[in-house]
Amino acid sequence: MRHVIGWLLLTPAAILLIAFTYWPIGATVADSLFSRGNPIRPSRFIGLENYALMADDPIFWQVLWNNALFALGTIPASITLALLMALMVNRALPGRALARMAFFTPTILPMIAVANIWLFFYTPDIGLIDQIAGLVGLPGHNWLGDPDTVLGAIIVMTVWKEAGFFMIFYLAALQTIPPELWEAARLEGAARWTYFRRILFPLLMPTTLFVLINAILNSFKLVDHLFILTKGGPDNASNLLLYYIFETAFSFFDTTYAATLTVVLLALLAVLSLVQYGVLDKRIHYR
Amino acid sequence: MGAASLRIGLIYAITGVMLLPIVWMVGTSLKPPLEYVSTTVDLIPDAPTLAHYRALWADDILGKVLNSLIVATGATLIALAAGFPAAYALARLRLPRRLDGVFLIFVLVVKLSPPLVLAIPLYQVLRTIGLLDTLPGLILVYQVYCLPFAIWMLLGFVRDVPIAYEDAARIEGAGLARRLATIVLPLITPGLVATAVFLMILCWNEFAYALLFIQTPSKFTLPTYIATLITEDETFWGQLTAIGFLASLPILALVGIVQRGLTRGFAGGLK
Repeated sequence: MRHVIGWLLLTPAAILLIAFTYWPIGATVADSLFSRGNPIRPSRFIGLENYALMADDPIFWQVLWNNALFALGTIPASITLALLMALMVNRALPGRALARMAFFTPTILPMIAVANIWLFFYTPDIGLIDQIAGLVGLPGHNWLGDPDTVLGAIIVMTVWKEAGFFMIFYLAALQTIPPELWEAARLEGAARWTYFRRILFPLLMPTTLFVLINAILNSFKLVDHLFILTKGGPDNASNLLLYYIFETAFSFFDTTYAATLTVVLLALLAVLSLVQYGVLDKRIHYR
Repeated sequence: MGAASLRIGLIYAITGVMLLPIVWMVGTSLKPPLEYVSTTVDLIPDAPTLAHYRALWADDILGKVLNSLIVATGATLIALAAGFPAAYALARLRLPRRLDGVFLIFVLVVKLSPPLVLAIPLYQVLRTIGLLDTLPGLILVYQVYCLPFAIWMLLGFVRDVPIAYEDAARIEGAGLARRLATIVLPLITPGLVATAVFLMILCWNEFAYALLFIQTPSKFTLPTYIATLITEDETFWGQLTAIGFLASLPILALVGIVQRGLTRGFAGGLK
């Protein structure tokens, strides 16, 4: 009887998940095994040929490399900033509510709206970045139009956007750490830095792992800003794997190749998710 | 002077950097075009104007706000309605062969995948059921985002309800429906609100699906409408910043109200 009730409670969610998530994933995996169809030659089964094609696609390797750089550029910076901000607003200070709100705000605003602001920031000459550069006598620069600076420009915006999100997790963790720990450490003559390095940071390790994995996943998931800022350009210099999938499917209409790229991305994320699941599990035991 | 004032200075500096783009957005939205096309830094408009807001009003901005509101509310309600029973079942009932655990892993994996990867097959699903280019269709595909999130967050809140309360009620003869209505739902109301707020924000901000699945301009949500303001030959910075501010305003208000609940929600979900 209890099983019947359990199944009944799960049914609405299960139907939605199957119809709008699992069936689509299955269809994608199947699609990746077929050739691109056209009115004259219909799509046919070609096995793993699309995957071989992918291995020879220089743009695939370029966007994967970009994704790695994007991850390396955003993750350590966001996590450090998040931890710093959490430590700052965890203690009483004048204007703490404002600071906390300010740290959190970028992360909840619509990506499309903030991407527009940054697009204007990076605009040559009239953008805020060049205005500030002008104050110290530096010439204007086309930040988003230069293949050498475009990825960096996007990384800066992403760190600004996501650091506040990770801060929330650190704040939640810090609130579970008893203040007596610091009192005791201080009585023993420990400096704040020693306390942080020897006690606080190790205690926050599970949170750091959780945030780290989320940050890695995020670096593959965030692409909305590319629609506004660069569309992956110039010359794919800021293109990321997910945006390349979108382009392949909806600009080049090569849905089977897009499906192939999707399967690779999903496999990558599935591995990361399983690692996260393991970490979550450990976290529960840790408590 | 010392470590303390250094710390406070640093906090205010970071606060400034985090808020600068937002202050700047509001300032620009009030500047006439001649003023914002400038090579010098100036946050405060010299001759404030509401012209950009009026232009948006004339362009049926209200209709887009309404579309966003309908989609966000609809998707949130469905996610809560389907997500709460699922979260309850996962927290309280044991299914044979640990199928509940399997279900949960499936939910978590979806939550961690980028929804955009499902765009192609979802396009076909929506076409098959005749909901392409409709707001109800968008509400349904948003379940890809919302449902796993709702289940994940509510699971934490349901687990926080002491099982002893329910056991006591069961001994008194209260059935499942009664226990849910009189014990579980009232106790997790703050959690439901926090989850609802988060889902609303998620849908309000969503861009990629809205871009792909809605073609008729009168059905655009705010983010897709914002994207149309950037064109090859001219970018309407005044209107862009004005609408960016308008789109951000409800979110800032919501978060201001439930800030505590959100932090708790994350902490709860993490456990």
